[in-house]
Amino acid sequence: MKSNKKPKGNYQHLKKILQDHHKKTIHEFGQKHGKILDKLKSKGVILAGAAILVSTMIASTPSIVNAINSHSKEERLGLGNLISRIKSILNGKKALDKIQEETIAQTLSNQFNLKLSANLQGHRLNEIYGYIGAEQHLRRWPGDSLQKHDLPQAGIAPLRGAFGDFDNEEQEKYYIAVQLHELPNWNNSWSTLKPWYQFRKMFVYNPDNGKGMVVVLGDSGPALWTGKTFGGSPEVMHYLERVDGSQKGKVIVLFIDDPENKIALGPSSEDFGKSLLSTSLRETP
Amino acid sequence: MKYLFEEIIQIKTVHLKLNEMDLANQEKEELLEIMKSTVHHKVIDLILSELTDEEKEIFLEGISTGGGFSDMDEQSSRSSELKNRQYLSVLRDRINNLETKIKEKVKEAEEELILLLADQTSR
Repeated sequence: MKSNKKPKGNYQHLKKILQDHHKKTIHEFGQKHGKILDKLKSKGVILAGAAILVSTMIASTPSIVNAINSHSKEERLGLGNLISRIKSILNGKKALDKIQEETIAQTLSNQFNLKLSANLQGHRLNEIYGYIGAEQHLRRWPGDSLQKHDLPQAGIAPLRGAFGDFDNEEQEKYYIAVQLHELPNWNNSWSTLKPWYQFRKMFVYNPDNGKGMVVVLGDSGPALWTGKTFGGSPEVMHYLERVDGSQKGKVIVLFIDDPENKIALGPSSEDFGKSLLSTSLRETP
Repeated sequence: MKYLFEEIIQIKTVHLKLNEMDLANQEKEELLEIMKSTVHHKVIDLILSELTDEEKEIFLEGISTGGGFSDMDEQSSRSSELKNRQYLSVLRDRINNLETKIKEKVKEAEEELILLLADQTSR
């Protein structure tokens, strides 16, 4: 009769064999990709693989990875490091591919304690990186006038924005314009897209000075022929230290995932994600 | 411990092989963890081989800041799963037949591990 007894596994011996095999794999990994790993280490980016290359303590891999993971979660980058990390990805590019977009979104999410992405609920803009131009103030509601706005020197647009009346002062203060008319399905589906994009909460980041801001999508534009991809309200341009004309600069624009509408509009800081209830709640009629 | 793309890197054959052995559950868990890490590095190696130098740097930086390797609490685990799906989606666009290639690499890695285990248990 055949025995159903399991073969006795020699745990210590099996562990050594598998660890040796693992070390060989890591060594080969390091040989092939050492150049990239060293470059990342010099930028302060540590990977579990790189840590294992340094340490031969395979049995304590979970604790090594825990230490790395808590390091990368808790420690935000200093401003200089943030600026250089994002700039190294942008690196003079005109457009970003999806990996670059995702990396930037994750870096900025971690830095500003927000959930940022280039893609939200299946929606994405035509570009997330481009020149931003200066917009005028928009009339917030009937009877509104330039005198009731800060930074009146920016002027006020003759017509209302694409989404009509704003819900409150803060939305107009911190609005941006994006090229909704350039979305591939805008013409066919604008009746469903427009409400989705109306006052959608976005994040704008100036890669030259590391400043970020929570804004709303308040208007459509600018036109493609201007060479600009986004427009910023006077307050947005002022805070981000962006100007129009020959000295115009680029920004990164991402969606904010804020289903409970808790993120306040305005300048971002490290504690932003934990702060005030948004004042952009719509008033019910 | 959660690894990048764990949902498609399933080392079931190795798992079954371990279950055939007379080992304590804790011992099996530890051996499985070592093998998962080995397979995982081979998959990352495969992915890196399909990327340019610049893309490699971006990918590795990205997985070091939020996806990738970690032992997480439940909330972070859900966030990591979302990031894993995002990475998978982006890499699918970039690398032809990505999932097929990953599955073939995993199968190859498993076969190596099975041979190692079989060799030791026959002694």
